[in-house]
Amino acid sequence: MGDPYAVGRRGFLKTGAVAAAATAVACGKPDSRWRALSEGEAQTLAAACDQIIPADQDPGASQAGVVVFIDRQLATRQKKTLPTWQAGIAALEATARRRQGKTFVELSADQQTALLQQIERGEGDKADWGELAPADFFRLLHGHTMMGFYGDPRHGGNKERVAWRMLGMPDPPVRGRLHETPPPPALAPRPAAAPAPRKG
Amino acid sequence: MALPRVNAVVVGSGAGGGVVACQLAEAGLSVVLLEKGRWQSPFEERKDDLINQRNSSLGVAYGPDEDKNPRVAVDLQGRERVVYPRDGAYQPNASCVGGGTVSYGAQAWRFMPQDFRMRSTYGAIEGSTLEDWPISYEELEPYYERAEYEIGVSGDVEPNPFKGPRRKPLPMPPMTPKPREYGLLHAAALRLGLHPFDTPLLINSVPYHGRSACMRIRWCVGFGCETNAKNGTQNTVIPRALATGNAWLRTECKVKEVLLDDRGRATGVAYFDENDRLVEQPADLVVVSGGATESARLLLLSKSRLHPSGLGNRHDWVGRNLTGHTYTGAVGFFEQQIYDDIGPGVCVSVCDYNHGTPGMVGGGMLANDFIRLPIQFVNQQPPGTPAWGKAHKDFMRKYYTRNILVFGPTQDLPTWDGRVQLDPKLKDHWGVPVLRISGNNHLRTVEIADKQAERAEAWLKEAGAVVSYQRKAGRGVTGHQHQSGTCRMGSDPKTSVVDATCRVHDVPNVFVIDASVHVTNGGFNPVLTIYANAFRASGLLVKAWKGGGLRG
Repeated sequence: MGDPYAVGRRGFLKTGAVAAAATAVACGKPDSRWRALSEGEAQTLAAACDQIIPADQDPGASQAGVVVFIDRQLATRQKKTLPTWQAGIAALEATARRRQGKTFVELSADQQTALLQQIERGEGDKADWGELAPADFFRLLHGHTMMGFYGDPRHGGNKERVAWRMLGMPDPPVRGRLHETPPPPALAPRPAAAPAPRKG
Repeated sequence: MALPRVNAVVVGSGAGGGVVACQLAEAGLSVVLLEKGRWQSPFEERKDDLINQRNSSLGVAYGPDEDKNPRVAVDLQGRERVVYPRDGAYQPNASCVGGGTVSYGAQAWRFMPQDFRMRSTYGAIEGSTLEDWPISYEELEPYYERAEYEIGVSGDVEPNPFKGPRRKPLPMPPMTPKPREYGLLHAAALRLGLHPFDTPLLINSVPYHGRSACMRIRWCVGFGCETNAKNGTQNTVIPRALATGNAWLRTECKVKEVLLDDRGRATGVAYFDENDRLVEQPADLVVVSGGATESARLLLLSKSRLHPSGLGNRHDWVGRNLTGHTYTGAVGFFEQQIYDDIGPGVCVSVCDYNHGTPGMVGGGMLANDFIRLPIQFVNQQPPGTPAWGKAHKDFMRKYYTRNILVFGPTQDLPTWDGRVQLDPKLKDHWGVPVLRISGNNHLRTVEIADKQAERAEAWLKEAGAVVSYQRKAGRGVTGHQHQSGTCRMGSDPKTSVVDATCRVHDVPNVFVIDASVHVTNGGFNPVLTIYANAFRASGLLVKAWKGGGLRG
């Protein structure tokens, strides 16, 4: 996988200098490609998002950068909701382990669908979910997957406007003006990290 | 810190305050125009479908500051919740130079003559504070015309037989080419015996007042206009005010209270400036134009010995009768391609249903919607279609370019309990009590709004929709961008806050000029009425000033 924070050639050229400066002071786990999530959390989230918008003839959620979008939000303007996301992802994993003895990622597509349908209906074991309402977490997951997939590419999702092209919307969206702004230094591209060891 | 005295201080630079500042400055008064938000130039406009006035999933683009201005919302079960501008329950409106007029959809409706005499037309309605306006359509007509010409309106309302009398056509023709939706809906409306016509918009269809014509992009409603073809106060009357040399615009100034002397006259306002310093601006008169929620808040905050419960609040009317609009309608799905990327989208409307539904009160205009961006379409699937998974994706692929939304603002019945008041506990960033919003929608409003949804669906079916569904009315109090009613205009001081000249009943030199004074809010987007009333009220104000009656 490429750098999740790549902003496209034009944006990168513009922010290259800022990026170089920012890399030196970037916080978070230095070996992670993610700003807020752990590698394991990101993998679980990618699988869940791909249930919300699966790949078919068009890219699915994770290919379109939805996890990048969510991770960026959790590192910036929605920092306060990070514990909720972490708890929700952990609860998904706990449920998968308890029911099938597997990680969420290892479940079959149908098993993943069934599990998400249950939490959408608000069904979840107190032992796995604690204080978090499963339906609330599903709403969060669903809403952000939609935003990441169909929203503006400047936030890290809808990579190369895949969603808009899928819908047949003419390009570019705004005539006569540079539409996107470069990301702030805190979100500047990082050099590619060493591949994370596969869990399993 | 106190500043040199001026003749007038105007609080808020939206549709009301912008016009007032211009009219007073052009009449020779010295004016300070205070705005809570920033000046957002069209050249820095960067459209973001997740951060705008229609979709604020990630934030609001045109103010107010998202962290510093909380409110308390009380839901239908009476549960309280602290809310921020991103949340619909906040009843948010933009807060920047131009207020909501920077990013509005800019529909330019005159209310109908009956809209000014709802009580006389429909009688007393149980559970509603329904009342007539103290002024008539005929009194406002010349000022509607001024608003249409001085701010700038395009469209063609001549085929609308339900409109009030008017002396001149709109200054700009409707936009061409017309989107595909126009042809389908126009023909279908005629077949149904309705009277369709080109929606009036405060958007240039041709170059006007030195600014360009609309470039017809899809990102319109909820966004500022980078070509400056959308007309608001920020690019019309405010530049005019500043050009007189008599007006000063100060941005990022948060007004804390209207200052009063022992005789009960206003002496100016106190505000926190852009560096959060408390500043006093002395003035001969004060005009409050902060929008229906914030104007009411400012009056309630301005307590003094003679006004212990706030300005104009002797009879407990400030903050009550909060109404916006109950939006209902229908979504229709078609076999053929509809989407043609010709913005802004809304182009055809009918006023057949504004009044005259047997057994029901009021009604509203129906029109097609602005272009909906993909993120605004993701939850528009017909009931029963899954909201995620492959079925969702198939739905989006098939119908994003094959749907039409017809909806409109149903005229809300005002209620005593639909209101804003000061929260007893919560304070904003500056230590000032915030608003607490509560109340329900009147059931007679819900009834007619749901009827409107049926009518919208019938129109779409006639246009060829193969699948359709209705979007029914919500039950909570409404406000949002169409917020109105909280400082009612009336001739009886016991049942209203301001008189017909918009002067607060028991204070000789404080005026409220914005949608707060609307007695009822029409079945239309209210902004042209706000503009028109601001032209009218500021004209009366200037007359009173010249007569010497306003000088302390």
